[in-house]
Amino acid sequence: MLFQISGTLLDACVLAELSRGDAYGYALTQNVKETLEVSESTMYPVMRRLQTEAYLDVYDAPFGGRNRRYYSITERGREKLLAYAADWEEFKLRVDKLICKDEKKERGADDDGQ
Amino acid sequence: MTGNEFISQLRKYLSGLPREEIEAAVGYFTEYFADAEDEAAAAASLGSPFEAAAQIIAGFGVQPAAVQPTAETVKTRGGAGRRVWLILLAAFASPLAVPVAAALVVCILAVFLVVIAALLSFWAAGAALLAAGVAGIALGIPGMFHSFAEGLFTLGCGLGFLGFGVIVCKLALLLSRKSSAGVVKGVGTATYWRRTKRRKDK
Repeated sequence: MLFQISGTLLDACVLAELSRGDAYGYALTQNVKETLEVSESTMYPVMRRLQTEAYLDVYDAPFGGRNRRYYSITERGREKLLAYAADWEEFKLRVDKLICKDEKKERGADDDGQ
Repeated sequence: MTGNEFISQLRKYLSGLPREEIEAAVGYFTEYFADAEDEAAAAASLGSPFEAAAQIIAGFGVQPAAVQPTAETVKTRGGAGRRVWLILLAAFASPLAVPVAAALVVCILAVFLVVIAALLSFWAAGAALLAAGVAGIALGIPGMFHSFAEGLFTLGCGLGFLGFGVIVCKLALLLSRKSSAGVVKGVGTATYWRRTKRRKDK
């Protein structure tokens, strides 16, 4: 992959993953890694930050004689995810316009120049 | 590297962050290694504890102000102070910085000591003059009964010393007030940074 995922985009991906169900740190990291090329040590600061910004909640659940910390998305987090999703659509369109410009010109796109 | 080795190195590199943050990170990675089937493989794919710590510190540094539902933009209140703190933190991560920091602290202390010494010498001079003045008066008055001229002279000197002593003491008082105001200002600025950082963590 020539492009890297970081910053707010990674935030959005983590929120999206958690919107599909609560997860604990290791599992969440492995799930995200299946799709994206992220460094595993990048995941913790992201989750810590999302937690302090109240987009995520944490709770402990017993597992095999110890406690396992689960992350869950909050209402505020879901709202933020919606905002991210909308922005991502816009972002996709804009990048497409630039990168795939010539391609579109050949196909004769009608929304030319803005 | 085992999980414990990773975590103990991570803890070392994170020192300087608030205890709450360090414990949160340690807790996360302890569970991480517990959940991973192969601890050594997990540690290997996590990379170096130093880089992990650097990312944690960096993430902490640009953290927005404590949870405020209305704030969507990243607040950088005390941003400059926070950045200086981060630089100090990064410097402390290197083994060289500790003696340098110690030297810095000693220098600051030395400045304080010089100021205090100067003030003390002023006060001592003033006190000595006052004492001489009192002695002069105490000896001069009875002395006038033995030899009027000598006694009068001693009395006069005593009064002179007393007056001079009062002036020096007033000067010492003025300097003491000014330097203590300066110290309070300096300490206040330093602790304000710390306090705003602490408040943001809560």
